Amino acid sequence: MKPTMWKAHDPEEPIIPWWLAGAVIGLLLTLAVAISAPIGMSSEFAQMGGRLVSLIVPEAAKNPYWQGKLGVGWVTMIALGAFIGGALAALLTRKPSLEVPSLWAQRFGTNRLKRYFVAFVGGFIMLFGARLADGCTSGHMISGISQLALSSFIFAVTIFLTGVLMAKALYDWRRA
Amino acid sequence: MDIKTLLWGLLIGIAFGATLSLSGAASHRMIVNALRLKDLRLLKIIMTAIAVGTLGVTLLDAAGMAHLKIKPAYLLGVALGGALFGIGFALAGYCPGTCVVATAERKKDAFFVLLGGLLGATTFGLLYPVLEPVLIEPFNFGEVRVPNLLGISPLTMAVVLSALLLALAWLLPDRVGEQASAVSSPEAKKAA
Repeated sequence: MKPTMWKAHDPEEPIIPWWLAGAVIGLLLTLAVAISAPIGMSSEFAQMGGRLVSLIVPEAAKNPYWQGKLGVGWVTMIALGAFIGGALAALLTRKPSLEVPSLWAQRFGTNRLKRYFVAFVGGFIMLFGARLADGCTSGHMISGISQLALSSFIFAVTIFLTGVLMAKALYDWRRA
Repeated sequence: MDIKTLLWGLLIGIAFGATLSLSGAASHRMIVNALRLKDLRLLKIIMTAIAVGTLGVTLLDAAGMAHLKIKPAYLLGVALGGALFGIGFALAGYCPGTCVVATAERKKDAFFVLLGGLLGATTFGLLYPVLEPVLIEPFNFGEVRVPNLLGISPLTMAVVLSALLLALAWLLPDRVGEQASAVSSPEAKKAA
């Protein structure tokens, strides 16, 4: 395991093996379903947005999408916990911070504004899609397929198709 | 929701976030190389998670102890949402959960994914009354589970699916092709 520990200095390399991570996530999901509900993430983006909008325009809370859902709930705690857990793990393993991801820099250069702009646009499209489909990688793909939901199989296939095409188009098709 | 349940949610979230961080799943390079089908470790994490999760959840359900939340199968919205998600995923290089974790790891670009995501999710919320009759109500088959469609028991399907996913995760290589290793290791990059 020594070489793996060394790679901890690269903030984009794993410290634990894939099978351990997969097993732990599967067990956490099982525990979550035993206690209250599956693990999710993207609905908290919409809830947080709804809280902010209703601060400015109180009528927004009456939108059927947000009505009665803006309180602190299960997914709020999962999202808050994920942030704390990520920060703790990075702190304890002394993970260095990162300005621009290495693969991006290699392909598109080290201009931060360019990367942050595309990151913002990507985040917008991704979360709009997640809310339209009613879930993300955690809530739809991992939690949804684990419940054998038809919807989640459809979701997984479509994100895989467009995700692979888009990644290939960005990083492999055009010679930068 | 009572405070005890909320605390459990927080603890599970902490363990989830730490696992995503330690496993490199909150890494732009690992995510994009997974979508390029060059570094398969992330796919192997997801396959193992689903395999273990499917067995765990199905056994819980059989024991009558599961709090399931089946997503409704409205074909248009789910397929279009998934298609948009994939495009955004490749552009962002993080998913909604991993952009939260990567922000906590002080990866600056992930914070912009998070901000864009907040705006995207909020925009959907604002447009929901308009989009619902067009994309969510039509072709909505409700909370359908695949074993019910196939006429088999959930346990049978769970065992078969888990075995398949575990075998696939075990058999697939970590990396495919030469370019992936060149791109994935900083040592190789320096040497080049």
